[in-house]
Amino acid sequence: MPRIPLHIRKFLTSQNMLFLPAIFHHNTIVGRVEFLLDTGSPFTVLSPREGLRFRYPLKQLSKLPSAACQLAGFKFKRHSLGVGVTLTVTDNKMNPVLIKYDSVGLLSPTKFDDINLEECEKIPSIIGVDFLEAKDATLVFNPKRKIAYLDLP
Amino acid sequence: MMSDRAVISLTEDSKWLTEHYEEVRNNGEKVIAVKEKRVIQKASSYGEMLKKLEADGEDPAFVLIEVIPSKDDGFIL
Repeated sequence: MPRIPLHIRKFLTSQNMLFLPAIFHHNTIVGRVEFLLDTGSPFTVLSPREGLRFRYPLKQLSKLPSAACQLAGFKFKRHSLGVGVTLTVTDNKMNPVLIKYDSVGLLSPTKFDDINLEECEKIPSIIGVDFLEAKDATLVFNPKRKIAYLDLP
Repeated sequence: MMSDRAVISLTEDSKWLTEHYEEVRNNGEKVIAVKEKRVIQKASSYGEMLKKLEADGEDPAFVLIEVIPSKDDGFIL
């Protein structure tokens, strides 16, 4: 059973939040992403800033009709990336663990301009509860003792 | 796919950032890029960071880029 350590950072207003560093693979796109693990999110998504970095066509995507969603008070469109997404993480012994997951979305601003992009650049990519359920993952988090990890079957 | 060494290196960068997060935030940095356990670039916005990294010959996809919210920032996810 792989045990995947999570990183605890005081991300906002001194709240301990959980991050999962991963290598994101999708077709020809490869790059690193620091996912925020958010059990309040029903979706796993790449943030617009990651979309920019990986050169997804955010401007064109923002014009397409897609499901709307709100995150941290911002409105986004959520686009499916389809099949072929793999996340590579490391376990507690620093061994790479490959996780295939075909339900990763990509968020684009509802309006694509510099102001909107700058406003939402603090929004990280999110691992949602959908991922935990699909992967039968067990989350252990003790903020006082600074213990956090995911157990995968 | 990336080599095992590359995956481990990226995990180590993330661990380094976690250990130095408060220090980076207290320095007032807004957007930082970390590679091989050190800050290699700073910028005032994400877009500016991407331009700076490309000018430095770095591929932004393989660098840890973090936007550091100020201590007063807060939002409910």
